[in-house]
Amino acid sequence: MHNKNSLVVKIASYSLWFIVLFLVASKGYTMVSAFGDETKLPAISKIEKNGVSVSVNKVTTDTNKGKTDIVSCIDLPSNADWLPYAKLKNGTEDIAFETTTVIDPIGGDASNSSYRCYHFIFPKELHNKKVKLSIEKLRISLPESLTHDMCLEAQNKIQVDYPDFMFSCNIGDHGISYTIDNLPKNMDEIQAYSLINDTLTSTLFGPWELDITVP
Amino acid sequence: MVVSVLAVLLGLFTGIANARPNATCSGSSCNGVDPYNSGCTAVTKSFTQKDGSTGSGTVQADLRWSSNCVSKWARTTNIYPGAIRSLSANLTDNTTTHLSVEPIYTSSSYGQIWTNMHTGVLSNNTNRILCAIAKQGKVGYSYDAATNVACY
Repeated sequence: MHNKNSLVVKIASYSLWFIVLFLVASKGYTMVSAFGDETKLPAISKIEKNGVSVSVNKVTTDTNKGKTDIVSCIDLPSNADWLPYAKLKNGTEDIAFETTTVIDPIGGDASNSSYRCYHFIFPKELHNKKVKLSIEKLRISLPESLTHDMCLEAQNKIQVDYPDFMFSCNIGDHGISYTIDNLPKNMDEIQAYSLINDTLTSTLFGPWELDITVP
Repeated sequence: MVVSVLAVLLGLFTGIANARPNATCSGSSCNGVDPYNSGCTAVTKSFTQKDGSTGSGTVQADLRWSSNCVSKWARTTNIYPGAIRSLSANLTDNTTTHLSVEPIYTSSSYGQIWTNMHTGVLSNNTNRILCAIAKQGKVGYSYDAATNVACY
């Protein structure tokens, strides 16, 4: 016997799905994977260099916000707080990243593994474009627990090339600052602070470049 | 006897290998606490950069997260120094108005500053996404760089 109520429910369900799909499509998202663990996505392209492998795993654009979002996974040298600095190369145009966010695996913490995936958000919406994702460098971030011993060690490293270079760290109370105690000849303050920053952290220079197609 | 000694040594080794700094707080007890010397190990969950428009250099905002303290904070770093600079670090909620969750910290020196910690649990016991905003400028001038929000 035909059940009018079940027919009404079926029509309502199908209508609801149609509305949901219409709304999603109209938001301008190109969705490859709406759900699921983004750290488990297969690689679209991959490169290995200097013992580090980098892959691109998802490329989406957000028409409403004018952004391009690239999920990229990196096999890092260790579990340290490595920060990847990325840009998109679109012909002669370089587009610096706007925000980089680590992706935690479902139920897990990305910092427990040296294999990490990131959302690289770029402030430009690209369509039907062949571009390069370039990871320019990987840098371990400076810890809040910096010590005077670490600063002294950095000074000793710098003094190998610049024996006259002397600086000291002012640590605590919500911040770290540096005082240049002796600036070598032919070095300005800007170069000095850059040298301190580079020496206190660890940096691996790339670039790791991957060709991708933005849909 | 040998087995006992080995077991003790193995336990010691494992303990040393897995040792974490002793955190002075966890969760809501970290609200308003300076992460420095707190024993809170931290990673950067999200970061963003901005170049100064009048030569103050590049500033970076980090949203920091500590799993052993279950807390977040905002950190501002002067990445590429330009002229003399002033820095600001702001931990906010992720509303469109980005209300400050902890006091904003400022500095007039090159380097790095950070806010107090917050667990991210705000009113109604809801666990909120928190965001970091960084500003930088020449000392004596208004800020010429304000980053986008780095949220987690």
